Amino acid sequence: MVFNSIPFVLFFVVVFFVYWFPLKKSTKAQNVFLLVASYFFYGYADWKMLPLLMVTTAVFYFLGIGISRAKTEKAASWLRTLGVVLGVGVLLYFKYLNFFIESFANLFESMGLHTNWHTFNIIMPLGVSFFTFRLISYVIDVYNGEVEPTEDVVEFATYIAFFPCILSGPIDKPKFISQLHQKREFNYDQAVDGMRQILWGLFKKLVVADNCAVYVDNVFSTYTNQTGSTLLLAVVFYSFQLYADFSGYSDMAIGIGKLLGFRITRNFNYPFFALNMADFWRRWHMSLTTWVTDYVFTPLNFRFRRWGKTGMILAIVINMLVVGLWHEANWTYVLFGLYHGLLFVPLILSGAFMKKAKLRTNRFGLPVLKDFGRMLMTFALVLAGWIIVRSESIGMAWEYFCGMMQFGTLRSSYRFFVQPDLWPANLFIVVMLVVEWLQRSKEHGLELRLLKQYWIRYLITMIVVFSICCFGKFGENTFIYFQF
Amino acid sequence: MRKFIINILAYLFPIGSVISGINCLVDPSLVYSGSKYEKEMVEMLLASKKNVTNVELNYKERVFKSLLCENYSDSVDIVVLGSSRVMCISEKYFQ
Repeated sequence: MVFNSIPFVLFFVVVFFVYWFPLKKSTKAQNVFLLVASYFFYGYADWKMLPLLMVTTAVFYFLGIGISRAKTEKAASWLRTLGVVLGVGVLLYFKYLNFFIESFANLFESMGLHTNWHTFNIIMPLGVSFFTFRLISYVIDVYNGEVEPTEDVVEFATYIAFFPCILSGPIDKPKFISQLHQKREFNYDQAVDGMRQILWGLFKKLVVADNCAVYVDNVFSTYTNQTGSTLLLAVVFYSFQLYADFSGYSDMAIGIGKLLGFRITRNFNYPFFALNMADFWRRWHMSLTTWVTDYVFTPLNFRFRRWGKTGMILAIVINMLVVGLWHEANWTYVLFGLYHGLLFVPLILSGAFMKKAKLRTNRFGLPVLKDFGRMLMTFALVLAGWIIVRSESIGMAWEYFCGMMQFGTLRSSYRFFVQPDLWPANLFIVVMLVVEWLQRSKEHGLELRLLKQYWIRYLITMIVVFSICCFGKFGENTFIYFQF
Repeated sequence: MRKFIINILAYLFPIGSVISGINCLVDPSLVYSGSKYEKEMVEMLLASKKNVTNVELNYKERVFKSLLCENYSDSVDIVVLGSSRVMCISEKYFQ
């Protein structure tokens, strides 16, 4: 049941009206209903894994209480470690076990040692990377005293399984539980903004991402027969597809949260306008980068502090390897993490790593030439990383990269580029970039609260709606990040 | 909440109207045309006694066949019903 499907619309309409009408007066009843709806949503997608979600939730709920009631610091620390091991263990078993077995078997084979290891038939639960990160952060934050452990099991279970975020994030920190504790009033402005954010997310997903997907899938499946310039174009398109797909999902999740009276963590802050790699990772998948910064980078950086810049480089490389491996158990993602980790090295050595890059504009509202160059440079570096992500193996990534370097004729890629089916993708990528540039100080591209005239807001919204109706790809296209 | 619902309807009504208007006008599934399309097909078929090609995929086959039987002027002794495989059955099998 993806957000852009009829079953989800029907599901959400029922949830919305039951939540705000019969249950309006009781926060507890609203929470119970949200939990039931979230489990239904998860069960609809993958009912076999619902017991796993419930059991892990129960275990971590008791661990949180155990940490807060522990009589000694050592006992609390032990329970926290147990929680982290359990969370990582679930992730390792379901996501990485087969990967490690295969990798070590291949390693031993290459060394001439024959192993009789076989992989297991393990089904990866949907959203496992997202809900285990929420569980782990809960025990750590309770131990660090950053949040009070909740005694209300419904609140805790709703935080873990909250249906807008369970399958593909954003990964909210445990502070989100306080929102479940507070009484929620229907806020008209917030709800309207939520609807617009959902609409903008739908536009990005159906009009931009799914139109780009046709071209990208075509080129990547026949990459050995394509010219270098066509391969380059396909990666550029892939970067827009990935962004529009994932940020579109995040916008829809945040918008749904707003309709239910919640503030969900922001996940993207216009990453195409990043001025360097550190700036890019502050803008891309922000909930994940904040998570790994808090629970991986900061402790490592503290531990390696005696080694100065070398320690910081080591911490950031490990941090980015975790980010890479978090996505998928594949060597391509290890390479992706390593690549991005190494891109931080010049920033750390020059001292620009901690500085927040500020985008400057000229009198026409466009970026100044120097910043525009930095944006293009960052985009080019990011593109190379996307080749690794989109490839099925490191070998394919290398072949693709080599193919791209043999630039070939522009005519063939031009022919590819001006295909009749491709013009909506070309046009709406530009539209998306222009809108997001103009709205870069706002939370999302369709935030129109400051526009005073109702008819202008109405007109803009209608244009977006009709663009979706006329140019959206309606079908069974799922979201890229569901696989993680 | 009332204001919010009215606002949603203010958007949904024109969108729904345009979508249903276009569907009515284009009528890709031949829902609103009654059996006009099938009648035309039968007329063409009976006039030429040959095949009718390039037809809309969504035509109502049952209506078409009923109309064909009703309007067929030649007298028939046997009607063979079935899938396209019945085309393999020729007159000689009944002689």
